[in-house]
Amino acid sequence: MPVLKVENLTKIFTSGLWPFQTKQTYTAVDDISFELKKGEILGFLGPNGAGKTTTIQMLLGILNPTKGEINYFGQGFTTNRSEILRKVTFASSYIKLPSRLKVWENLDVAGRLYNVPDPQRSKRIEELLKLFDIWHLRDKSCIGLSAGQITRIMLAKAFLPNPEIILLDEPTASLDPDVAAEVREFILKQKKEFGVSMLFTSHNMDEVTQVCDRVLVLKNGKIIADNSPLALASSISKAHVHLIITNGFENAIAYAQKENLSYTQNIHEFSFEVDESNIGSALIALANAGVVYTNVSIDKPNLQDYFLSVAKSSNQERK
Amino acid sequence: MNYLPISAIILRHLWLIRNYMNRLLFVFYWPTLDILMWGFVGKYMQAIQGTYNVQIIFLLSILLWSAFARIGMEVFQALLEELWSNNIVNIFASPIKLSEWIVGVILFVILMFIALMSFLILLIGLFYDISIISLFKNFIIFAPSLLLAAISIGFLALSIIIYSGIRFAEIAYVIMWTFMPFSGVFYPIETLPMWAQKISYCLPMTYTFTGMRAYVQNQIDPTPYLIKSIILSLIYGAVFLGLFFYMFNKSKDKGLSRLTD
Repeated sequence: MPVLKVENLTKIFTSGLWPFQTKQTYTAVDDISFELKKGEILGFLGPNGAGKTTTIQMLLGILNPTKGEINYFGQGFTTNRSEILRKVTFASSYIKLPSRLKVWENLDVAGRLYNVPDPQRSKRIEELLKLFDIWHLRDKSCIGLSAGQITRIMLAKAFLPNPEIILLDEPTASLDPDVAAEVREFILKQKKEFGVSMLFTSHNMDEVTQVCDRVLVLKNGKIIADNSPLALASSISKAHVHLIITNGFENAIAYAQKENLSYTQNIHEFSFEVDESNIGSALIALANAGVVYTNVSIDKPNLQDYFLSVAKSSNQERK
Repeated sequence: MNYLPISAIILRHLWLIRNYMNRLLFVFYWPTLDILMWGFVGKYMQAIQGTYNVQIIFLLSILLWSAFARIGMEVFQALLEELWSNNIVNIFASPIKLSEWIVGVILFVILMFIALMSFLILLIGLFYDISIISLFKNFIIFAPSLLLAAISIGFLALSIIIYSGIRFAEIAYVIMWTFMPFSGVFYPIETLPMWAQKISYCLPMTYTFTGMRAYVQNQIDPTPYLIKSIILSLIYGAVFLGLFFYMFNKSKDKGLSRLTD
């Protein structure tokens, strides 16, 4: 049984409610359905305005859906909100904590909100502060802390009540690469050891590929893909070929223009996009055109490419 | 109803006060100024007119009005704090029920009420030649009905903010003070024009202040006034609480996170 089941979820925003105003509607989330299994990390991707945040807000109960059903652990969310939210937490790099409260106070308030009794609450706060390497900040007011430190506090808050589901909205944004790696490791450990399920949004595609079992891609409020990160990446046939050219740079440019290939250039490096199946013939054609290159590197299509293609088509549709 | 989420709300505001004393200044400064100004005005008037008890009536009036206005403001200030600190999502995406949040806010407001009133009564004892025990005895008769009125009307302001967000904070502040001229705080409502008196009769505060003057000036039993005040407060409380629940749900149609914009 899935721990989260979303059916036909729709959100239509209406503006212009006054009698003299023209009513305008905007469909932010358009009839989406998906499931989250126990212990699964589900990536939630899409360009800005795709409906990710709106969906997460509905999943947290701070935005009423226009239509559709949200079921957690087989129970309806609207009728069992409080009971369900004891097991569902969230962390977002866009939501703050009261800055005048100290780190410990903020976490203590969060623990109480999630019904975590003492002494478990204090013990868990200490454990998480040490884990996220912010134990030394416990008596500091949140005002003046760096974005990275706040993100770690938000993560500690999210994991505090030992949740079964966590909604993570760009959890590693504004973290240093080493801390971000530790956070990813922690997330994977929580999944492996405790079977925690997560809904994960990020703009870091490498991170999504590393962490997520499955990815849902949203575009203009609709789910347009539901697959593993690798399967999505492989749906893009274009590869990036990078050449260090010692002679015939102009010929390389002329070739790319003639074949209508997307390319970039700097002093010695020439990069172009080509179908994976045509890499060999392109390299031969370049050599025949008098291009001398000393180094060739090929980037296979990845989730980033997939995401960019979705974002590009989404922008074109809006125009 | 769970006590842990309720304690979270109370502690969240108490810790804010402990860490940020300016928050306390907001609550204590104006009532202190009012007590000093109106207390001395009362003393002066008593001296030139020889009117019996005018100073104690002035002081009790301002004490009770401070209780009403400040405590009413504290009700919606609790929500404004969450909006200003961008904490609204952390609160309402947690398991706390709206009823638990309301209970937490009311308990915090009662604590603030006790602290503010204790401070003001001590201040009166310090600056004026008035027995604070007799002042306290008079105060305690009328304070509960005004506290109830403050919380009830505070929910009206709360309903506006939960739907409209911080952009309407000023309107919420204005609401509490709008009632002052109609509540007969410093004068009997018969002083007002007829149309204004009609408004006054609909306000619970009117009966508390009228009862207070009748009791202190002429030793008339204030019970009928207090009963009227409490009944009206309960009616307004039920209506505005219902309105708050309705507006909270309407606000969720647009999303609570937008309220901080």
